[in-house]
Amino acid sequence: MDISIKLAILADAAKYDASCASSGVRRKGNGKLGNATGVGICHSYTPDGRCVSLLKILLTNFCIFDCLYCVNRISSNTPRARFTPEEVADLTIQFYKRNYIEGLFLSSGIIQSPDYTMEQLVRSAKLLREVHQFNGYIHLKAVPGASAELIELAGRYADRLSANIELPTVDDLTQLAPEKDFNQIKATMEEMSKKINFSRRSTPVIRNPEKPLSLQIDPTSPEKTQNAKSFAPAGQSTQMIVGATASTDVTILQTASELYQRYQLRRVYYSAYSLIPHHDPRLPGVAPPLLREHRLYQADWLLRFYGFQLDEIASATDGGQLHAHVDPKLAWALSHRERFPIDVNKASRHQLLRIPGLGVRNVDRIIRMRRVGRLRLDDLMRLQVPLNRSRPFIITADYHPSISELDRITVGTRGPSQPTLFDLRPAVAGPDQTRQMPNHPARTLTRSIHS
Amino acid sequence: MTKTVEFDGTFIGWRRAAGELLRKSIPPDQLYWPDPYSQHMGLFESVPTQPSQNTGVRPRNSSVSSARADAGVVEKRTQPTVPKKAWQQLLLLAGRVCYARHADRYNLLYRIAWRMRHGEPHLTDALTDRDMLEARKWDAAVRRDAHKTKAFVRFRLIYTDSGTGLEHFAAWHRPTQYPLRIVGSFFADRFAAVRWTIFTPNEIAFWDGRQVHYQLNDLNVSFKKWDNIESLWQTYYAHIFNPARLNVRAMQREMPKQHWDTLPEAAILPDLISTAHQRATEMQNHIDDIGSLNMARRSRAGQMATGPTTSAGQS
Repeated sequence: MDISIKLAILADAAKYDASCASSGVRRKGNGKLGNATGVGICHSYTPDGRCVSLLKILLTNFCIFDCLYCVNRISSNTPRARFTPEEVADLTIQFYKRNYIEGLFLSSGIIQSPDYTMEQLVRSAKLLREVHQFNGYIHLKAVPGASAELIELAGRYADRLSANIELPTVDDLTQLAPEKDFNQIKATMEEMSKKINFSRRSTPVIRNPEKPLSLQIDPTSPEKTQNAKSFAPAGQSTQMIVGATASTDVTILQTASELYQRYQLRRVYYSAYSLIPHHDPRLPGVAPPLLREHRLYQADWLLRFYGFQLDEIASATDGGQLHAHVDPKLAWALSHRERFPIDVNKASRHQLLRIPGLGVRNVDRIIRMRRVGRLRLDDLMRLQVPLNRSRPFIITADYHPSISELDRITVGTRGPSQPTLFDLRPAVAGPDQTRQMPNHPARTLTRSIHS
Repeated sequence: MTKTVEFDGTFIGWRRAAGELLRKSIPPDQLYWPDPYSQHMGLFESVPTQPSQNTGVRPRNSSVSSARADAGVVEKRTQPTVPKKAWQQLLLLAGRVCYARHADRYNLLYRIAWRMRHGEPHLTDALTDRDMLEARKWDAAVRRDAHKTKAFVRFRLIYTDSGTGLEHFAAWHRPTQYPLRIVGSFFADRFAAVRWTIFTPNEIAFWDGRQVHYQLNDLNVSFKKWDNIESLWQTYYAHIFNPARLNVRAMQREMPKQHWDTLPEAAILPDLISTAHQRATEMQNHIDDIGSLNMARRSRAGQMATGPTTSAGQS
């Protein structure tokens, strides 16, 4: 089979894996070919707006499993192909030299056995590292159930490993991927997590409750990369398919935060279940809106970088689903109006991060600017803080919102496209009345959200 | 009386010149900083804009200005000392702003340095100060452009030395700023074992295996050469794309049209976009077919002799 036909088939087969990150490890060049910059580079964008950073292919899309959501399941009559490890290595090198990619993301259908499959993946990475002396980024899929020895080898060659959890619950997995074993996937994650931690033990991890774990582990610290027994220096990630089963956003986030905590994952990718060719009729015939994926990422960010707890996010959902019309941070703020407004000139970093419209970067800028003087509304405007969203929640040197402004929260909405949360808002007669608890719009809102 | 600063236009050059001018206490409005890139291109005349009126170049410093050139001790008494960290912040900023496509950039940086020395030692923390805001804006532009240069440079194999096997690559790239000197070390580190040249309309960078050489693109050299790996790359690009998630705006925001000419994969973009809807619809129809077939099968319980074969064979 011609190499370009194989490439077409095996790229087609790989495109439902959302991860394309090449970040998390910084490594100087080896004088030959390749380095890693720590941040990752998107070398191109496909017309779906997605970043192309790595050569993302399957070694083969032959597969002995029959996972309903997967285009490569044994019962699908998609065209099949198989690369040799040599072909994968050559292709990676040719693309890399022309600056098309940051490296390789190699996955595979399960052929023969988990061990056989894993061995093939490892061999491709080994060729790249040892024969081609390739020093760029490698992400390998860890096949659940593969032996500890093969995982060990994979971690030696790869920067990142990932075992996909696939679905948020055991039941979902049994239903859609009968051959996969939830506990086996977790066992593989645990194995990797142990090895990653072991290879990092030269670097003390400072536990700071204010900071999410992922921020405390510095991937670019030189100690780790100099460690001779380096194991997957960019850590591990996973992917969860969203919308193929009835599991709610809160359930999904619950699983995600458990994985973050237990196995110190660097990323959980949420992949909106996408219609695939050779669709299985037992799956929903409609893909979930991409907005759902977006809201999950926003919530995930709040958990990891904004100091939010899962139950806080869950408290501002609509029966376990994140609101479509309001981002999760605004939703939380609206159901906790008593905590606002917050004085940007006095508040702690933790408090600032709670203000709708304020991102991590602007929070840090505000803290830096407080050294020079007191911030005014105009300063925030120059920082391009979206004031229409943030204003009711903040106090600046020259601005103090009336309680009624916080109650008259339509300021936070963006036109008629976001009405649902506020439709039930009672007419606000005046500041005095709104302070009366029974009519407090925040209460009404909270009730309507919880009902 | 305006004095033309003699320097080479690089960040190192600016730093050296600015340090000396600060020591001599020459105020920013007496200086003209020539721009090597725009002069060479003849596109932008380097007319130094006047320092903005309210940016705080304060006259009360006149007594300090007349002090001796190496008047560090005197200055310490009359002016707050600029912390080392603040100077470092300025230099970090200047390291990028020097390569912004803006005729006033060197002057702006010097004005900030001047203000820091003359009464505003913490100016680099005043992120919304007018000069700082301007500098940060240009900094962001350069940063983005440098990143996009690392991303969008596409090397083509020009020739392979038959004796040594050494490969020579070249790229033609059109940045929005002047990022080559910022990204040169990145390419040198990543592609150490080959030889490469990056052509831009203003400047050329060449890696000889030991160091990167820079020169202005005096002859406006560019090149076109086909590299047969590019068709494989196009194949990959076409097949990693999911037509069911078409989002041209998001793609274009990150990969502006300005770069399409120099990206081999962009050649097939129009095709991919125009057929995406049809491909997604076909997939949906196929799924609906299966769905209705199943319903029919359920309702007619076994009378379905044909089976769900309608489009199952197509991909």
